[in-house]
Amino acid sequence: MENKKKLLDILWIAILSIVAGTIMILLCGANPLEAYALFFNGIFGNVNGISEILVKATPLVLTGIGCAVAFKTGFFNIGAEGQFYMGAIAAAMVSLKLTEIPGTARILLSILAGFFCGGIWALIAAYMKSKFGISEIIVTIMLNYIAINFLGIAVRTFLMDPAGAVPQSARIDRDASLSFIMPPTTLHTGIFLAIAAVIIVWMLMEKTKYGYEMKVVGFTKRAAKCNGISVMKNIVFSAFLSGGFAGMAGVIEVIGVQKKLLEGISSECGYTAVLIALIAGNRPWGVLGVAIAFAAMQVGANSMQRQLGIPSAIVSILIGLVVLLILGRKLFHVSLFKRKDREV
Amino acid sequence: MKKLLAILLCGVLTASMLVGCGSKSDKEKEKMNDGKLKVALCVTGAVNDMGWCQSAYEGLKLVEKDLDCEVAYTENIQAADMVSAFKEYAANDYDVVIGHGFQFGDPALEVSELYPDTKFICIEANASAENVASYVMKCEETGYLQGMLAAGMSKAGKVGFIGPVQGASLVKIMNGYEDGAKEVNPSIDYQTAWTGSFTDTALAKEAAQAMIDNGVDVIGHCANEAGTGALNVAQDAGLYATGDSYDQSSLAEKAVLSSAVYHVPELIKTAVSDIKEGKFKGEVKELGMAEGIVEFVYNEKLMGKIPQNVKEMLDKKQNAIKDGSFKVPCDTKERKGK
Repeated sequence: MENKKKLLDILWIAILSIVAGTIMILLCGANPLEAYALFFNGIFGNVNGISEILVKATPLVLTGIGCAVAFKTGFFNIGAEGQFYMGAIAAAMVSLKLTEIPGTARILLSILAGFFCGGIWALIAAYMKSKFGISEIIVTIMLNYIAINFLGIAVRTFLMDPAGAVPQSARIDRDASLSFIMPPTTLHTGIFLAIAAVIIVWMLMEKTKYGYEMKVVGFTKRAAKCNGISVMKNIVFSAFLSGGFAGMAGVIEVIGVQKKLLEGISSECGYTAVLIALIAGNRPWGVLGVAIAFAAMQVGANSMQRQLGIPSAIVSILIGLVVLLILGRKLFHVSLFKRKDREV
Repeated sequence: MKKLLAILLCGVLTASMLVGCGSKSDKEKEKMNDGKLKVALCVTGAVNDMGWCQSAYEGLKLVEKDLDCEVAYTENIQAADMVSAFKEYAANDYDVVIGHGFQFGDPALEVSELYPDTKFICIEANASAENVASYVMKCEETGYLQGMLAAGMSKAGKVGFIGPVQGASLVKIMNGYEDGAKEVNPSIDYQTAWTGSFTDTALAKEAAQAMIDNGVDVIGHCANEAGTGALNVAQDAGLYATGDSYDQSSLAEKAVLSSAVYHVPELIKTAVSDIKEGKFKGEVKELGMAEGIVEFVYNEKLMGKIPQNVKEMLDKKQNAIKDGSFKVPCDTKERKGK
C-alpha cells in the first residue's frame, strides 16, 4: 500500500515535469523529442558527459553535506555560498602566494586553509546566534554578500593577475592543482574528497556519540540541555564543520576546475546546496545521490542548449518544479486520499 | 534515501519513455557528419542584445548560409562555465569552436590541449597555440576617430567615456578615444568610468548621469547592451554621444553623432572560411579599417550639426588610417586616474 502510493507519486511527478518541459520546449519553437534525445545524449552520450556530471556534482556534494550537518543540528546555514567563496579565496592565496612550498603539500595546505576559512565564516553566525540570539539565517545571508564582494575586491587588487587586465587571479601552476583522473575529460581527484566527506559525515552522525548529541540538539534544544548536552558547543561544532565543507568545495573549484580565482566561481552552488540537503532529508548518502541527479540535469540541459539553442533556464524552471513536487508530495497525498475516500 | 530513490526512478521513467528518440539522434549525427563543418559559437550575453553578442550570432548565421556549415551556439556563458562549454562542444565532435570575447582566451588554451583535433577561434583575445587562433579587430582606429569627433563637438571641453569591463579589447578603445580627443584638444578633460557589466543598462545610465552632472557634454561608450543606457541619458539631457558596435543612430537619433561599426559577422566568416580553405594558422590576426572589418559611420540626421572643419579633419584622418600612413596607437594597458 505504502509502496504503491509512493510509486504513484513518482509517476505523477515524472508525468507533470515531462508535460511542463514539453510545453516550454514547444514554446521555444523546438522539437521536444529531439530536445529530450539531446538531453539524455548529453548525460549518457559520451564519457565527457559522465565526467562533467561528477565534476559539477563535487562542489554540490560538499556544500550539500555541509548544509545537511548544520540543518541536522538545527543551525539553518544559508551561507554555504559565502563560505564557498572564503574557501576559494583562501585556496587562491595559498596556491599563488606560497609558491616555495612543493606541489602536494601546497594542495593539502590550501584544502586545510579553505576548510578553516569557510568554517570561521560560519562560526561568526554561530557565535552571534548562541551569544546574542540573532537569527543565523539573516547573518549567513549577509555574510554571503560580504564574501562575494570581498572576492570581487580580491581579484581586482591583491590577487589580480599582474599580467592581465581581466579581474581574475593568475593561473595556479600545475603542481599545485588537482590532477585529472581520465583525460581528455577534466574529471579530477576532488570527487574522492567529496565521497570521503560523505563517509565521514555519515560515520559521525550515525555511529558516534557526537553525532547523536548534535541530532538531539537539532531535535529539541531544551531536552538536550536538560540531559547535559551543551547546545552551544554542538551548534558551534556543526557550524564549523558545515562552513568547512563549503569552504573545501571552494578550494576544489579553484584548484581542480578553474585553476584560478574569478568572480561567480561558485555558479551559485551554495544556494543549490540548501535545496539538495532539503530534498535528501539531510541524509549524507541522500545528499550524494541528489547532488549527482542535480548535476546530471544541469549537464543534460546544457547539452540541450548547446546543440539546439533552447535556453537552459528551462531546466532551472523544471528543477524548481520537481523540488516543489517532491517537497509537496504530502499535500498531494492528502488530496489523493480524500478523493479515494469520497469514492468509497 | 527514499526521496533519492524517487528521483532516480523519476529519471529512469523519463528515460524509458524516450528510448525511441535515441536512434533518431544517432541517425542525425551521421547526417551531420556528412562532410559539413560543425561550428559552435559561445557568447557571454544574449544573442539578441542588439550589440556584441548579436553580431556574433549574425556571423554564425552567415557561416551557416554562405559556408554551408552545421552550427550551434550557447548564450549567457559565465566566466566559470567557459571551459565546460568549450569542452562539451569539442567532445561532441565540433570542428570549430568560437569564443566571442577576450575572456575566452584562457579557457580556449586550456581545452585546446585536451582536444587537439578541434580548432578554437577567439575573437578579440590574445591567445594562440597549435589549434587556437585569435582574430582581433582594430577597434582603436574607430575609437580614435570618435574621440576626435567628440572633442571637436564638445563646447565645455569635457568628454566622458563609459566602458564595461577592463579587458584589453575595451581598454584599447577607451585609450584610442582619449588619444583622438587629445589630438584635437590637448587640454580636454577626459572622464572615464568602468561599470563592470556588459548588460546592466541602469549602471551605464548612472555613470552617464554622473558625468553630465560633472559638466561633460559628449559621451562615448563601448559597453555593449549596457551602453544604450548612456545614449538615452545623453539624448534626454540634449547632449551628444557616440555609438559603438553597430550603427546606433536609431537608438537615440538626436544624440548619436556617429557609430563605430564592427563587422563581426564578416570577421567570423573570414575566420571560418580560413579553416575551410586550410589556411588556418595558430596566431593572433589583426583586421581593421583597411580590411573593411571596422568602419566609422555618421548619423545622417545629425550631419548638419557637425562643423565643416571637423568633418574635413576626420575625413583626412580616416584616409590616413586606411592607406596606412597613420597608425593608431594600440594601448591595451588601463590608464589609471590622473
